[in-house]
Amino acid sequence: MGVLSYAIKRLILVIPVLLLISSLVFLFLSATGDITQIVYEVADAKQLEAIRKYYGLDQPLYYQYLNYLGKILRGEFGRSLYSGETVISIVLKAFPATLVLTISAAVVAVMFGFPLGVISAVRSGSILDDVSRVLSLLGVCLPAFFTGLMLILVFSLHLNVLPPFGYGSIQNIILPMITLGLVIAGNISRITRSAMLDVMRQDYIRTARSKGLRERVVVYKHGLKNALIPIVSVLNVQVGHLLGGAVVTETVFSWPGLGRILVQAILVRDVPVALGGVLFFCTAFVVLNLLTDILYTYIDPRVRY
Amino acid sequence: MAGGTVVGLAAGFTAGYLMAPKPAPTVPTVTTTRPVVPQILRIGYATNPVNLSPFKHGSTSAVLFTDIYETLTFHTPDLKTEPLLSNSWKPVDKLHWAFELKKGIKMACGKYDFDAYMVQDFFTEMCNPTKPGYGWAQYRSIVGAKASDKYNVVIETSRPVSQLPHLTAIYPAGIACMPHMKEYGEDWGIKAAHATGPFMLKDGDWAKGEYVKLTVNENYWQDIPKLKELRYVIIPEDTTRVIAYGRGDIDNLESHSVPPEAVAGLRGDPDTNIHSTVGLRQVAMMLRTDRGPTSDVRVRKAIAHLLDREKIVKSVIGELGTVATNFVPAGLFPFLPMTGIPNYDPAKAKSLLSEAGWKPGAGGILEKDGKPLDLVLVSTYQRDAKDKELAEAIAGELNKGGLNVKVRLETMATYTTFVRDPNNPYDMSISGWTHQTLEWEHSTREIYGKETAKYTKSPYSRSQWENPEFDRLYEEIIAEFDSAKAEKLMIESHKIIAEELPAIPIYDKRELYAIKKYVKGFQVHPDEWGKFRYSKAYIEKG
Repeated sequence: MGVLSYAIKRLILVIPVLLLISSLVFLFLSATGDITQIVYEVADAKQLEAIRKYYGLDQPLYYQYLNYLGKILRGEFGRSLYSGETVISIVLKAFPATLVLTISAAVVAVMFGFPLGVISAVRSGSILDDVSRVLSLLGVCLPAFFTGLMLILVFSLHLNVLPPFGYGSIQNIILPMITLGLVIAGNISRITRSAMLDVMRQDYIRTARSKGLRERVVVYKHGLKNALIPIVSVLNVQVGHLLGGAVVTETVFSWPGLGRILVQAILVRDVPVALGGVLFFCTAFVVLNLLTDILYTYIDPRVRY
Repeated sequence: MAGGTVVGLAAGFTAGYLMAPKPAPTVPTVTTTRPVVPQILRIGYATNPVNLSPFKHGSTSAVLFTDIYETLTFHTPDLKTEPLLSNSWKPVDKLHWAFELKKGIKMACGKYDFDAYMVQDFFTEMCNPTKPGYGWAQYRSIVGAKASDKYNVVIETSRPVSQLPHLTAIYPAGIACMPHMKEYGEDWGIKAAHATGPFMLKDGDWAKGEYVKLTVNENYWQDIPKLKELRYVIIPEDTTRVIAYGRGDIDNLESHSVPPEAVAGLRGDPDTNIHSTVGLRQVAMMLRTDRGPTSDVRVRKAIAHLLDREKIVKSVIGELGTVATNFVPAGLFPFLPMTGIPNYDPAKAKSLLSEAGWKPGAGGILEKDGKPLDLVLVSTYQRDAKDKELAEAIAGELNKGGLNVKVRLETMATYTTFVRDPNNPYDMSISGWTHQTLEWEHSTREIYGKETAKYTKSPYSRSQWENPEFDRLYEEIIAEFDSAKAEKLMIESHKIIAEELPAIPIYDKRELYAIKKYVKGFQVHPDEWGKFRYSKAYIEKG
């Protein structure tokens, strides 16, 4: 099977996944509170009846769900129960901010995590390895809200060199991307170290060394290249989670991303926005996974689909 | 969010750090001309506004409504109802009120006049039951409005509403520019919003999650504000917001956007003015009268006697509240007597509980017929500052008195539905109420009234209290157009609440703003949704 047919097959498989997820989200949100009572908290019982009728919420749940699916097929994701804004507009306005944060955080993660992991593996057992492992653990363990606030205290308050919030300029992205990037960097560093240690024990590395190749060539050309698959897999999952909403970082830095909107929508039972957002994230996640699978074939030519 | 306590402490620390006296500059600066200061006010705001249409969901956006929309009547900061878009009003009969409107007022767009047909159109749209909106839910008694001529309009109600002019002063009754509203359709309040108020939302000026920019209304019928722009900057995180304020990224912190921990630090800042007033919001503990131990009035009174409200409010709420002295916020109805919320008296509580049959049992918890005095106190943690801490402090105080109180915390959404259903297993709830209309129905019946043939039950009647005498008095009050007589009836009805104690008022919220001293002319208002706070404000630096 070629890469193209594989990609098409994978994309077709997305449909049942999206159906399942949308059903679950719809059921959970509908089962945990009367939406009309939440949105129209001041309305009395008679008014609530009229509101339910207006929104079609007086219909059986399965009917509401099928109706919703039918609308999605026509490209209508509905409007927010609170703001009246279309879901498409809400998602498309917020997604660029999420994408920018995700990509920049991934760059930070690779820039720090990757070399740290390689050094740690190559100098396994040395002080450098210990320091590197401690740093990685710190990155993984420190919660984003703590790291974010500390960065704000240092760089915005004490040194006064970077803004503590905002969106739209290079200066605005620096602190959020470091906050988020450090968490992933810790994970990347740990998986890189582990994968490299595994690879460096292989026979072909010993062969490379016995052929008299320079250590740098052994590490980067023969070692690192073979360790890349697990690293890319972890990076893929991490980036996928970021796409799904780096809600804490977005809140700390007042970053207008999709994560905050989605969490808020779930909290206030804004069903159309919550459903639309979840479906969007799922699709983005699946596409990201697909791209990663395709990337495997370039990293390791032995991988075939 | 997770780590709320850490974040709160960080906000307090930050405020103290930022506001510490700074060394005087060593190089004296000499200026010959005063620089031109842009009249843009950057307001730090904790919540994301939702929609700026009076017909959509309102409370989180309502602060901005009052910059844009004006109402027929107006509540002054000293809690009087005065004309705004109207000149005068009078009851035509029990079900109709006539308003004479001001002349020569234009909508902010400059294209349309404000007149009686605009008011008629507004109320017709608002009261349309086939297109229910938030304002419609709020104004259950208003049927519609009819213009008599260009400057006279009659508002019709479904039942006598003797205090209607108070009701028409609140934010969902802000008269929008109806032709443009219809033109924009569902996008009104998101892309654009304007009326007769001092500021307006222009297309493209709302960056969701970042800021909302309101531009001055150059056609404003009163003095045109000196501020050219109000920029509400959305910063949900307390510490970030306080740091942004200290750095000068924003010029003020709105009410509800000042973290309690930061107030002391901000007070010490030589560049900050704190504007504060007792507000119209009261936070109370509602006691279920229809089930469980709290159905006994002696138990309800004992609970009140066990609460050292002074200590609780001081330690938990701090400067953002003052201990409630009555069943409505202080100053709302000055004619009401101090009916006496039971004071802190653990001995009296013990005696009342004993009288009600509750005797000390195993583990120090009171028992009756072999059953322990278990109570569930439900609260949200997403409405008023320190909701969660308040509920926990109350439970702690009550547990010291031999009760076994469990706190149940909910998100705002689940709380709203949970407390509305009397079948749910809870005995007490922390409940806030903004008495924004300054009239009796909204201030008491909404909280205490029961369902009758004439009136539907309020969703806020969380104590499930029923008292036929109270309901009889209520019906007399709303139909009594003689205010002196109505006041006497209100006093009577108020005494019943005090005797029966379906709720224990805890604190009156204070509206508190932190504002840079270079911002002049700010007006504080007791309504938590503010009113014309910035219409006379301006920036003066250097």
